[in-house]
Amino acid sequence: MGVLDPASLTTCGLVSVASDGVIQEANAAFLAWLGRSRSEVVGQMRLQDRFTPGGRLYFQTHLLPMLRLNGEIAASAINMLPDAPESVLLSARSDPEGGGAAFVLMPAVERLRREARLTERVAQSRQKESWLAQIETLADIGAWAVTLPDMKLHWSDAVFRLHGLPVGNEPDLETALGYYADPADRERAAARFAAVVDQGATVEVEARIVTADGRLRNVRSHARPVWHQGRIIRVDGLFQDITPQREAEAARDQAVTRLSGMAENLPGVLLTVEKPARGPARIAYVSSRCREFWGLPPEELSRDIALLDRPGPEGTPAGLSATITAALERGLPLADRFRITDPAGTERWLSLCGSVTGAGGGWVRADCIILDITAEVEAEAQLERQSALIRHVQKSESLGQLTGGMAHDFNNILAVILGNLELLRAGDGADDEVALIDAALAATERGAGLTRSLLAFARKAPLAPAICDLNQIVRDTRDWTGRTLPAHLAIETSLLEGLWPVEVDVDSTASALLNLLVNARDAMPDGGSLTIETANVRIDDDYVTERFDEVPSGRYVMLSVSDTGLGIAPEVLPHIFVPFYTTKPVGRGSGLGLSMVEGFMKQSGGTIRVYSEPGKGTTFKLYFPARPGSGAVPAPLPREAVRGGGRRVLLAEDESALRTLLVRTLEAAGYQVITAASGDMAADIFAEDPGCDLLLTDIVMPGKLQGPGLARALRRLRPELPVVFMSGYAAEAAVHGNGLEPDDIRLTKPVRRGDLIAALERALASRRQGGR
Amino acid sequence: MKLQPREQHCARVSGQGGRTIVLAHGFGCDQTVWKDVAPDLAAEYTVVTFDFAGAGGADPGLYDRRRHASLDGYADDVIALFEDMDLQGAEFVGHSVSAMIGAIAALKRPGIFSSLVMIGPSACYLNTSDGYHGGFEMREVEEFLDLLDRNFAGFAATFAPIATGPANGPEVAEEFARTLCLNDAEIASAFARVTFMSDTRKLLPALRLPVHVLACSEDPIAPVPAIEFVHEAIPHCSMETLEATGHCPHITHPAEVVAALRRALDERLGGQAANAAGG
Repeated sequence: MGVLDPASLTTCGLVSVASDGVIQEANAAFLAWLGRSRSEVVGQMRLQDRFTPGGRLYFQTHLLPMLRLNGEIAASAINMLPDAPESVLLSARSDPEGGGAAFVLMPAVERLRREARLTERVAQSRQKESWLAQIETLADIGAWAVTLPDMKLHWSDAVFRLHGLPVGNEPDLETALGYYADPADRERAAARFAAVVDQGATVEVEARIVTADGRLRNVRSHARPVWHQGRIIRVDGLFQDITPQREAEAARDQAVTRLSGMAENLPGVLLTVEKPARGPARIAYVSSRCREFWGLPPEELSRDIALLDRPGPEGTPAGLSATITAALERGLPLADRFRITDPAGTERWLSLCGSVTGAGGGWVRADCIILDITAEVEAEAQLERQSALIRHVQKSESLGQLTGGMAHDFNNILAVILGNLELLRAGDGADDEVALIDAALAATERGAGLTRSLLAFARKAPLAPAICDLNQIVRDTRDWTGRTLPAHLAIETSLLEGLWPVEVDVDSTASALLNLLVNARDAMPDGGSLTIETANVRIDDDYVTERFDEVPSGRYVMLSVSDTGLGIAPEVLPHIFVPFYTTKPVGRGSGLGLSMVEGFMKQSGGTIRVYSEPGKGTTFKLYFPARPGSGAVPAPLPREAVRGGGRRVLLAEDESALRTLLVRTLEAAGYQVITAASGDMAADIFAEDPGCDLLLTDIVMPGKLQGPGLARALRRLRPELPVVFMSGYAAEAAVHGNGLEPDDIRLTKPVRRGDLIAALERALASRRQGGR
Repeated sequence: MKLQPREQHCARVSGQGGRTIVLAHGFGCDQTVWKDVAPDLAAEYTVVTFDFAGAGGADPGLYDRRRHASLDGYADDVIALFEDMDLQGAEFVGHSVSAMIGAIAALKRPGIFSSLVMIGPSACYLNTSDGYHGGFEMREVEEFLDLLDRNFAGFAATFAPIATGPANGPEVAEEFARTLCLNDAEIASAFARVTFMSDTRKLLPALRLPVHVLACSEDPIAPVPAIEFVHEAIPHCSMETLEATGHCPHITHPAEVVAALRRALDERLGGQAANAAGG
C-alpha cells in the first residue's frame, strides 16, 4: 500500500503559477473542473483567466496587490467561469524567490450562500437596531427588561438618559422604583410589576419621576411578560418621557378654558364663518350666548348661516349672512349694524365687527364679534331728537326776534295810518269817500291782527295769564265760531267734567283754538266731523307710545281738535310748525297759524302734538300745565300692579318702534305677545293660531285690513274676542259706521302704560263676563 | 482638534531632490503600493505619497459620502493637500483612477501640476453604446461590487478571524482587514462604484499640461482601446507601453516603472514643462 498523495485526493483545486500568472502545475481536482488534460492547462493558461470578468476585476484590484504586498491571500471569495465550481474560497501564498505563487481553491458554493443569507440577516438586524436607536432618540422612548428569577434590571441607553444617568451600570429594581417622585407611585409601580411576574399581566404606569439631575418628568412605563417553556423568564418594558405631551395638553387645556370662558362671559357673541374657494359659507364656531339673540344653541345655529337672518323689525331678513358672505368673497373687514327681532320679540340692534383672513387651501375665514348695542342706538336716537329740538328752538328764536322787531315797527306804522284814517272819517267827507276810508280802515285792522299774530309767534305778545277753565274757553269759542264753520261740518265736543284749572292767556288760547278749527275746516272741503275734546293727563315717562322730552313731567290739561279730513302727508308733517310754511293756496293762509300756536304753547309752558292719518284725518293736541295744587292727582300705576297672567295678546301695529315698545311694556306686565306689522299679517297669524286672548290693534294700518276690519274678520272666527283699539287721531267720527261694538275700548294716543294695561284688563274682564 | 490635510491623508515625504513627485495610489489600495517604487525615486526626487479618503490610514472623518460620491470630491482633496503642503508645480503620478482624479484637479486648478503621469488610465471603464470599448459590461461591474461586498461586509468581517486561524490572535485578523487597503466596506463599495461608473472622456481635451501615459502590455482593467482613447483625447500627450503585464506594474514590475518614470520626467515632461513655463 503506497503513500497517498493529498494533492491528488483533495476536492480543493491546487494550482501554482509563475510570476506572469501562467499555471505551472495543477492538481487532478482543478483539471477535472476544467475538463482538460494537464498538457492543455500547464504552461498554457493563466489562473486569472479562469475567473469571471467581475472576479478578474477583483483579483486585479485587490487580491493581486495583496498577494504582492503581503505575500498571501487568506480565504477570499471569488467567482470562477462556469466549468469550475461557481464560487470558491481562494487562499494563496507567494514564492518570494521566483515571484510565483501557490493557490488553494476551495469549493464554497453552499458556504457562501449561507454566508450571504447570514450577511442579509445581519444587515436586517442592523437595520432594526438603527430603527430602534432612532425611535429611542427621537421619541424619548427607552426599553428595559428584568430577567427572572434573579430580578436583574437591564436598561437601554435611552432609559439611562431619561433618568439623567450616564449610560452604564443599571441600578437594582428597588433603586429604579425610587426615582418615582411620589411614594404612592412607587408602590403602585411595584404592585403592577408584581402582577406581571406573578400573573403574566400586561401593565402600564404613568407617573412622575425625579431624575438624577433633579428634573421632574412625566413618564409612562409599559411592562409585559416574556414566556419560555411554560414560565415567565423575563419582563420586557418600555419607558417613555411624555412630559412634552402632558405640558402641551395642559397648555392647550388652559388656552381652551380661557377662550371658552371669555366667549361665555363676553357681553356678545363670537362668530367664525369659513368659506371654501367654491362653495357656501358656513358657521365654524359660534359662542353659546347666541341663544340670547337667535334663541338657538350653537350647534343648531351652525347648521345654516341663513339662521343668523332672523327677520328684522319689518319682517325683512337682517342681512347678516349676506354681509358676512360678501366680506368673505372680497376679503374686506366687517363693521356694520343690524336690526333683529330676538326670540322674545324684542327688537335689538347688533354691531358686527370682524376681519377676514385666508385659511389656506383657498379657504377664507371671518372672525367676528357681535355685540348688542340697542341701548347705544337708542341713546343716539334720543340725542338726535334732542338736537333736532334744540335746532328748532334756535331757529324759532332767531325768526322770532326778526319777526318781533319787524312787527313792532309795522305796528307803529299801522297806528299812524289808523289814526289818520280815523281823523279823515270824522271829517265831512262824501259818502263814497267814507266807504273808501272804511275799506282802508278794515284792511288796516287786518294788518294789525297780523302783526299781533307775528308778535304772538315771537312770544312778544303781552300775555295776561289768568286762572280759567279750558272747557269754558272751548264753549265760548265754539259759540262765536259757529258762524264761520260751514253747516256740513258736524261739530262734537267731549269735555271732561272736573277738568283741572289752567293759568293761561284766554284770548291767545281762544286764538290758538280758532287756528286749529280753521285748519280743520280747511282740511274738510267736502264736509266731515270735527271733534273737540278735553281731558286731564299726566305726562311722565310712563307713556308707551311716545316721549315728551320738551316739557317736565307733571299734570297737564289736554285740549284736542280732530277732523276727518285729508290728513297730513308724512313728508309734510315735520314742517307744519315752521313759520311761513303753508300748503294752502296763495292768499288763503299766512303760514304763521300753526307756528303761532306752537309759540304760544311754549310761552305757556305747554306743548303740542299732532297725529295724522292721510285720507282719514288729523288730531292736534294742546297740553297746558295744570295749575299747581289744583285737583286730585291720579297716582301713577305701580309698575308691577297688574299681571298679565301669561295671557296672549295679538298686537297689530305698523310702526316698528312703537310695536317694540308695546311688546316690552306688555311683556313686563306679564302678557305673552304675538306681533304683526299689519292687519293682514295679524289675520294670517290668527288663522293659523287662534289661541290668543285679546286683539290690540292700531286703527289705521297699511294693507287691506284696517283695525276695525281686522276686528270684524277675527270675530267671524271668535265672536267673543275682546278688542282694544289704539289711534292717535281717532275721533268719535272716525270710527262711526265701522261696525265697532259699543263695548270695544278705544285708546287714544298718547297711551299711558297704566291706561293700556287697565284697558286690556277691562276688555278681558268683559270677555269673561260675556262668556258666562 | 481638526487635522491638517497632510495629516488626514497620512502624507509621507522622502528624498531630497529638486523636483517633487506626488504618487497617488489607485482604487482598492493605499500608499503602500508604492513601497517598491518610492525609495528608488527618492534618490533623485522629493517623493510624496498619501492615502485617499477611506483608504489606508486616512482620517475616517475625511470621508464624506456626499462629497466623495463623485471623483470631484477626491480631486478637491488633492488640491487641498497640495495647498497645505505647498506642492504647487509638482509632478503628479496617478495610477488607475487616480490618473483621472489628477486630470480633474488639473482642470479645476490650472498650474497645480507641472505635468501628469498616468499609469494604466481609463476615462471610462464601461463599454458604451457609441462603440467605445472600456472593457467591462455593467453586469460584470455589478458582479465585482457584489464580490467586494461579500469579502468585506460578509466574509472578511465574519470569517477573517477564522480564516487566519485562532493561533494568529486577533491582532493578525485586524492586520488582515487593514491590508485589504480599504478597511470600511461601505467606503470600499462606494469608491468602487464611483470609479467604475465614472466617465471623464469629455474632460480630457481641455487639459493643457503635458501628460505622459504608461501602459502595460496587457492590462485587464484598462484595455488597449481605453488607453488609446486617453492618449488621443489629451492634447499634449505622450505614451509608453511597458513590458510589464497586468494592471499594477508598480507592484509587479517596480524597476521598469521607476525607469519609465525617470525617462518620462527627465526627457519628455521636463523639456515640455520648461517650454510651457517659458511660453
